This record gives sequence, structure tokens and C-alpha cells, in this order.
Amino acid sequence: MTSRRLDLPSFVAGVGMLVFGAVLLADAVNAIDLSLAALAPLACFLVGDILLAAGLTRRD
Amino acid sequence: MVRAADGRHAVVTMNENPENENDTTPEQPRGPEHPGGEQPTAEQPQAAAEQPTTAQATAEPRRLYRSRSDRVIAGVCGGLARYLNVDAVIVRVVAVALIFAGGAGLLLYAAAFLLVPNEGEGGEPGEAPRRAFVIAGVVVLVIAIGTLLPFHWGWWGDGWNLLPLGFVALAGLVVWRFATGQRPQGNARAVVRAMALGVALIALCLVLAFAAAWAAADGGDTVVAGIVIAAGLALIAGAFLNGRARWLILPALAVALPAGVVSAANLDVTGGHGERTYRPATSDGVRSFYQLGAGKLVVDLRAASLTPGDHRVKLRLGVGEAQLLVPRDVCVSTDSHLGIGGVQVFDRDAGGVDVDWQDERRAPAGAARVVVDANVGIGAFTVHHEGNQGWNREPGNEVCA
Repeated sequence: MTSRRLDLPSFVAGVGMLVFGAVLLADAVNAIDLSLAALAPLACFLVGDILLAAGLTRRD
Repeated sequence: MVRAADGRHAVVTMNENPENENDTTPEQPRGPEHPGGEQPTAEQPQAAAEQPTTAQATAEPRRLYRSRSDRVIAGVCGGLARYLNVDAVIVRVVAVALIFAGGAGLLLYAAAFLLVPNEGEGGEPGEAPRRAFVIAGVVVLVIAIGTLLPFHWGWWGDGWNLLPLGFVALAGLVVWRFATGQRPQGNARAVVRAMALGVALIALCLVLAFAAAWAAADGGDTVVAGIVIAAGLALIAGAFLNGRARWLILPALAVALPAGVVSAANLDVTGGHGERTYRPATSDGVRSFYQLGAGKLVVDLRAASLTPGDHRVKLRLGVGEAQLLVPRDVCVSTDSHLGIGGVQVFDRDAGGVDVDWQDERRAPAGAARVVVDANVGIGAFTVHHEGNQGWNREPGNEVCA
């Protein structure tokens, strides 16, 4: 039986993409008015979380 | 091997197992930390290898290898540090500093990568560096030395011209490492292959980024958002398959981030592209709406002989410069928004990200007023009395009350 291990960077990136995509979709249907001032921290959170997860994960 | 009194292993210099004295299994060369003569080589008789003399130990030069245990990219700095018996961090700092000496650091690193064997490989005759790598290494070395010279060689310019290529190659390795989670290792071919795959992934991401940005700006923002969500779901599913979808992170980011910038900047390129100039000759010829997707949009009202009262004009530009030219006897009231860029209304300006400019003016009785509502995604919006003003401040709007 093979054990399946959660790949943290992929998981974090996936959740981040879901959130980011939802924000883009909300802006596309005019549910929100996305501004660059709001996008910048959101993008930094997305990229930063992925890098942090990749850095904390050690692959054999 | 003997055990010391404190329990740690003590080092012995004699053969601890006399029965193995005739063991003919050759040992792998171990690099400069075991300087020459202690391991048998193809050129040395076995007996001599077992009883090295001082003369042999000093005659065989130390070998430079690329370190396998202390490597960030290809082990060049780690191997050189071991060879020189200094801290590898010092060598790496010098290497990075040399990058800014005309790119010599990158070129020297590439030459060492091509010429210096991996630890444990170079001592075997059958694993000598191949001729093509030697030639390539020498060429790169010559270029590297050229970049260090204090003058510019006309036929290739200075070394900075090669620097972008070096950065692309290094970026390829970094991207490959991030995408696979593994360090580039193995022989030169494996590292070059990793570099090529990384560069290919970068190229794919650039294409995806441009396509996503263009699609989002051309009315496909809902579709792009759906793609980002689908990529997120694929990544979550792949996370439970031992990270087999990790390579998807970079392409997903390449789609998501440019699309986000486009959406946040309200960038819309549906109005076409190029340079478009509107110069109405009469007051009735002034439109209420002017639009351009990308390029330069000029609305010149100086010959329109505007009648007294308000004339409302909307300007929409995705990327580029929008310019409004008005006669001196017309008052201009401005309400504009820029995603990224700058706005200049006569002698006043502002710039940055999410720029909102509101300058409401009132015209005296009997005078014409242009009420402009400008929206530029990325670029500039200027209002002047004279054309070709660029970003020069020009007094104006004196007619306003």
C-alpha cells in the first residue's frame, strides 16, 4: 500500500488560486470593484504563501 | 577501526583488517580533501597505491571538482571553496559580485560548469569531459576574460550584452528547481536539460501571461477567472497525489496575476489600437464618448468653436496616452481615474496606482466648459491648450471662475 502525502505548496497554491479566481470572478460580474490597492496585497499573499510553503517543505 | 575511550571513533592510519590488503577494488577519487596519492589511480600500480610515498603524495596535484554535497546550482562554488579550503559563502559572494563585473561571474561559472567534473567522476578516464564541453568551456572562458578587460571589444560589445542570457539560464534552473522540488544534479547533460526545461516553462508562462492579460482586457475576464479557479482545483487535487501538479503553480500564477492587474486597472482594449486623433470642426461635432483600446487617443477641441455652456466628454483608454486639447477661452472640469500611470491637467499633475483626479471648475457666464470624465487603465491622461506639450507643465484654465 502506498502512502499519499499532501504536497503543501500545491495545496496552498490551489487554495490561493481558488480565492484569487473568486475575486476575479466577482469583479468580472461587477459584484465588487477590484482596485490595484486591494490587488497588490492579495497577490503578495498568494505568492508569499506559495514560496513559504515551498520553503518549508522538504522533498526526498 | 578502534573506539576511543570516550566512545567516539578514533582515526587509525594503518589498515585495520590485514585480510583486505589484497583487495583490488579501486576507490572513487574523493576530491581535494584527500589530496593525491592516497587513492590508487589508473596510472599507479596497486602496490604503490597501498604504500604511498611522500614523493608521490606531493607530486600528484589536487583536483578541482564540483561539489555534490555543497551545491546550490552545480556545485562550482562549493567545489572551489573546498579546493581553496575557504568558506563556500565567501566564494559565492565573490561569484555574485563578479556578475556585476560585466557578467564575468556568470560566464566563469558556466565555464567551470562545463569544464570541471563532478565530484567522483573526473578521475576515471572514461568519464573525462567530452570534447564539445571542453570547446564550449574554453569559448565561454575567453568571453569571460573579455568582459573583464577595461575596454569594449567592438564585435561583441561589452559583457552586459550576455548578462540577460546568463540570467535566463539561471532563472531556468531556479524555475526547474521550484517546479520539481529537486536540485539540478547529475552530469552536465542533466543540468543543461533541467535548465532548458526551466527556460521552456518560463517561456510558456510568458505566453500564458500575455494571453491571459489580453483575454481579460478584451472582455474575457469571466473566462479567465474560471480558468484560475479550475487551476486552483487541479492544484488541490494534485496536492494529494504527491505534488504531481506542482509544475502547474507557475503557469497558474502567470494567468492569474496579469489578469488581476487588468481587472483592477479596468483595462479595456475593445476599442481597437493605434493612434487616433479626433478634431471636430464645430461644436455639434464634439462627441460625448471617445474610446481606444491601446495606443494614443487625441481629442483636439481647439477648432470646434464651442458654444457657451457645458460639453460633457467621456474618454476611455485601455493602455497608452489620452490627450485632450482645448482652446484657452474654455474652462475644463476634470474627473478622471487611472489604474496605473499619471494625470496632468495644465500645470498640475499626479501619478501612481489607482489615481483619482477630481478638479471641478465652474465657467463664468457666457463661457464654454468642458466636463471631462477620463478613465485610463495603464498610461497617462493630459489636458493642455497646446499640442506636443508632453509632460511639461503649462499654465491654463485661467478662464475658469
